[in-house]
Amino acid sequence: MIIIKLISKFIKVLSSAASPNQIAWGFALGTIPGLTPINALHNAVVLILLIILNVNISSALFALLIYSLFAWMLDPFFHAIGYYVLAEIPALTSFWTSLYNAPIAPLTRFNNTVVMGSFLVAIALLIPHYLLFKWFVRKYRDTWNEKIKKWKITKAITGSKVVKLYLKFKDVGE
Amino acid sequence: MRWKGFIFLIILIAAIVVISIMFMDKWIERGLEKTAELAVGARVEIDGFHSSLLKLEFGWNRLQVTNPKSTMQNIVETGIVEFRLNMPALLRKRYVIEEMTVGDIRSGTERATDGALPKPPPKKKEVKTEPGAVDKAQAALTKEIDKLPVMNFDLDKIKRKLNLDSLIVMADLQIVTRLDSVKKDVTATSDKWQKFYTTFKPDDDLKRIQTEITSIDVNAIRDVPTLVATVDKVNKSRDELNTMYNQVQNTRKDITTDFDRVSQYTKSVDDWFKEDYQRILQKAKLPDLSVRNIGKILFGGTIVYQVDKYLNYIKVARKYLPKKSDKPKKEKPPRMAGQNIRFPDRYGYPTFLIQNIDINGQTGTTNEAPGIKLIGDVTGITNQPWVYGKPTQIELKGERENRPAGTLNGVLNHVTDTSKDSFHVELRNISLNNVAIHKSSYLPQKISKGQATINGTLSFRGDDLFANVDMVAKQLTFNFAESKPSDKFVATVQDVINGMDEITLNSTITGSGDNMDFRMDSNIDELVSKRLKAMGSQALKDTQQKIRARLEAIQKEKLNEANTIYQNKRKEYEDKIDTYRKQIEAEKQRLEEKLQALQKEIDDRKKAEADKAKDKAKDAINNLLKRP
Repeated sequence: MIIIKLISKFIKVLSSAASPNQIAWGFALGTIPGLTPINALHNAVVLILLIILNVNISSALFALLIYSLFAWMLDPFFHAIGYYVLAEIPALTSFWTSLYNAPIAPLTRFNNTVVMGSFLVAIALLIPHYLLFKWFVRKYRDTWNEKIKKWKITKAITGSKVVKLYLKFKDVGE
Repeated sequence: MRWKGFIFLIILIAAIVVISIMFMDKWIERGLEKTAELAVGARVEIDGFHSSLLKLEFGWNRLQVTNPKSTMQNIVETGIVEFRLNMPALLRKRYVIEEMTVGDIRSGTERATDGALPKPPPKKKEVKTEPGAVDKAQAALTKEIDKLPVMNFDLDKIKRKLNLDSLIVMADLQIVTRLDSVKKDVTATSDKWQKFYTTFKPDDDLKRIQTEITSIDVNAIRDVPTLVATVDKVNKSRDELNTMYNQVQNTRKDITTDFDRVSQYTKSVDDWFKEDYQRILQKAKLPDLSVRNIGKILFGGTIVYQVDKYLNYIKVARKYLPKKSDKPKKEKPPRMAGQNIRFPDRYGYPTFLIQNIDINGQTGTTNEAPGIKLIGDVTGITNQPWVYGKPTQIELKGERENRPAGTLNGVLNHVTDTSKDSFHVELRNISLNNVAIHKSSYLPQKISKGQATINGTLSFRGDDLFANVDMVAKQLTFNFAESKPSDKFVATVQDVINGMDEITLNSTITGSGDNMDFRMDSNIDELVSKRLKAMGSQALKDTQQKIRARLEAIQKEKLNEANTIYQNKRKEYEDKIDTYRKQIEAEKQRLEEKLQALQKEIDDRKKAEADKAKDKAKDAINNLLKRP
C-alpha cells in the first residue's frame, strides 16, 4: 500500500511544479541511504540535509525504496571494495588509524567493510545520479508525460481507491 | 534552506531528548534483560535500573540471573551495582568503564518466582569448530580417568574367568605381528646379500693376479727395459687389487649397516612386550594394586572435575578475551553485516573495557548462612587485551567469622600471541560439614564432619597445562549410608576411608594437547594397598605371572625365529667378506714385496751400467794421457 502511494506520489511529483534540480537532488540524496546500511550515522546527516535543504523528499523516499530493493544483492561487491580500501592500501592506513582514534568518527562505522564500500559507491554515484535524474525529469516532462498518463498501469495506480482515499484525507489536519 | 524543515528538525530532536529522558531507564533495563535472557536462556531481572546520561553513570539495585537448568534458583544474584562510562572513549565508540562496584554477589540463591521463559529462545545453530587447546586438554583428562582399570577385586571370579587363550585373542597381541614383520625384514636383508654373493666372485681375479705375481722371476729378466715393463704390469695389478679391496671394504660396511638397522628391533621388544602385557591385563580386568593407581581411582574423578571447572573458566576467557592477531583476514561475513576492520588504538582504549570491578559477596545463599565472605577486585576485563596491554587480574579474599578463610588469584594474560592463564586458590580450614563428594562407588556420599586446607594452582600457557592440588583434610567423619559395597575392593576402600581421621592428597596434571600426565599421591594409597595386599596379593601375583609366562613364551618363539636368521646370516656374510679382505691383503703384501724386488733390481742394474760406463771413460782418458 505504501509502495503504491509512493509511486503515485512520485509520478505526480514528476509532473508537478517542483524544479528538476530539487527532484534530482532529492533522488540523488535518497540513493545514499538506499545503497548503504540504514543504521549508519552518515544517514542521519543525509536525513537532516533532506529536511533542511529545499530538495524533494518524495523523490528521495522513492530512491531509498528502489535502491533498498537491490542493494543487498551488491553486498559482496561492497564488502570487497570496503576491505580493499580499509585493509589493502597501506598508504591509507595512517589516515584510517587517525579516523579510528578521532571522536565521533568511529560511530559512523566507517571501519565496516560494507558501510565503507557502499558509502564510497553511493558518493561516487551521487553526481551521476543527480545529472541522470535531472535529464530524466526533463525528458519526462517534455516527451513522456502524456504517454505515460495514458498507460493502463498509471491509470490503475493513480485511480486506485487507496490512492483516492489517501488524497482525500491527506490534507486533513493541515 | 527549508525553514519549516529546520524548525521541524529542532522540534523532533527536542522531542526525542525529552522522551529519552522520560523512558530511557526503562528501555535500557528491558533491553539489557532481553539481551541477557537470549544469552542465558532463562529469565534475567534487573530491578531499579538508573542512569544519568550527562554523567554517563548507570546502575541497578538488584540483578537476578536464573539458572536455566534449575529455574527456581539464580545462577548469579547481585545487590547494588554502579558503573560509569568514559566519555572520550564513548565518543570513539569504545565502551570503557573505569570503576564498577558489584555488591552482595552470590550464587545459587532461591527465587521467589519461576525463572523459566514462557517461550524458550530459538536454539542457535551450532557452528562446528576445531577443538581448541582447552578442549583437547579436557578430552585428554576425561580419557585419563576413563582408562583407569576397573577395580574388580573378586579374585575367585577372575580366576574362573581367566582363559588365557581367549584373552590373547581378545587382546589382539601386537607383538606377534611386529615380530613377524621383523622376521620378514631380516629375511629380506639376508636375501639381498645372498643375491649379492651370487654375482660377487673375486676368486678368479685374485687367482690370476696371484699367478701373475708368482710367475715373475726377477733374476731371470735380462735387461732394464723388460724390468721397467714388468714394474708397469705389477702396478696395474696393484690398481686392480686396490679397487677390489675398496669394494670389499664398502661391502663390509654396507652389510654391517644393513644388519645394524634390522637389529633395532631388539631395543623395542621390551616395550612391545609391556604394551601387550598391559593389554591382556586390561582385558582380564585384574586389579592393579600399585599405590599410584589407587589414589587416582579414588579421587581422580573429583580432581579432574575441579580442574575441568577451571578449564571451563579459561575456555570462556579465551573466547571473550581473544589473543593478539595480526592483519585481519578477509572473512565472508553474513549479508549486510560486513567485517569490522580494527586499527591501532592511540589512546589505549579497547572496544570494551572494565578497568576495575570492586566485588563483595558471599559463597552462602542466605544472610543466615553466609559461608565465606568474599571481597576483592577484578581488573582489566577487555575484548582486546593487546590494546589495553595489561592482563585481566582477579584477586579475591575470603573471610569467615572475621578470620581469613582463603584467597583466589587469577591472571588471564592475552596481551601477547601466546595466552597465559593461571589460577591459584588457597582455602584455609574450610568446613567440610555435609559436603557432598563427586559421585564414586568407592567414596562416601558426604563428609559428615571435617575441615580442610586446599592449595591449588592451575596454569595454562599456550597449549601447556600444569595443575597441582594439595589438600589436607582433618577431623573427618564420613557418611556411607547410600554406598552399598558391590565387591570386596569397594568394601575395603570404604572401610579404610571410614577409619581415617586425616586424608592428604597431592595431585599434579601436566601436558599439552592429547598428552596428559596425571599423578596423584595420597595417604589412602598405602593404607588401601596394604590391606589389599594382605587380602590377596599372592593370588594376584600368581595370576599375573601366569599371563606374563604365556606372553613370554609367545615372544620367545617369534623372537627366536628372527634372531636365528639374523645371527647366522650376519655372521656368514661378514665372515665371507672378511675372508676376501684377508686374501686381498695377503696378495697386496706379496705384490708390494715383488715390486720392491723389481725396483731394487732396476736400481742395481742401473748402478752396474753406470759403473761400467765410468770405468770405460776412465780407461779412455788414461789411454789419451799415456800417448807421447
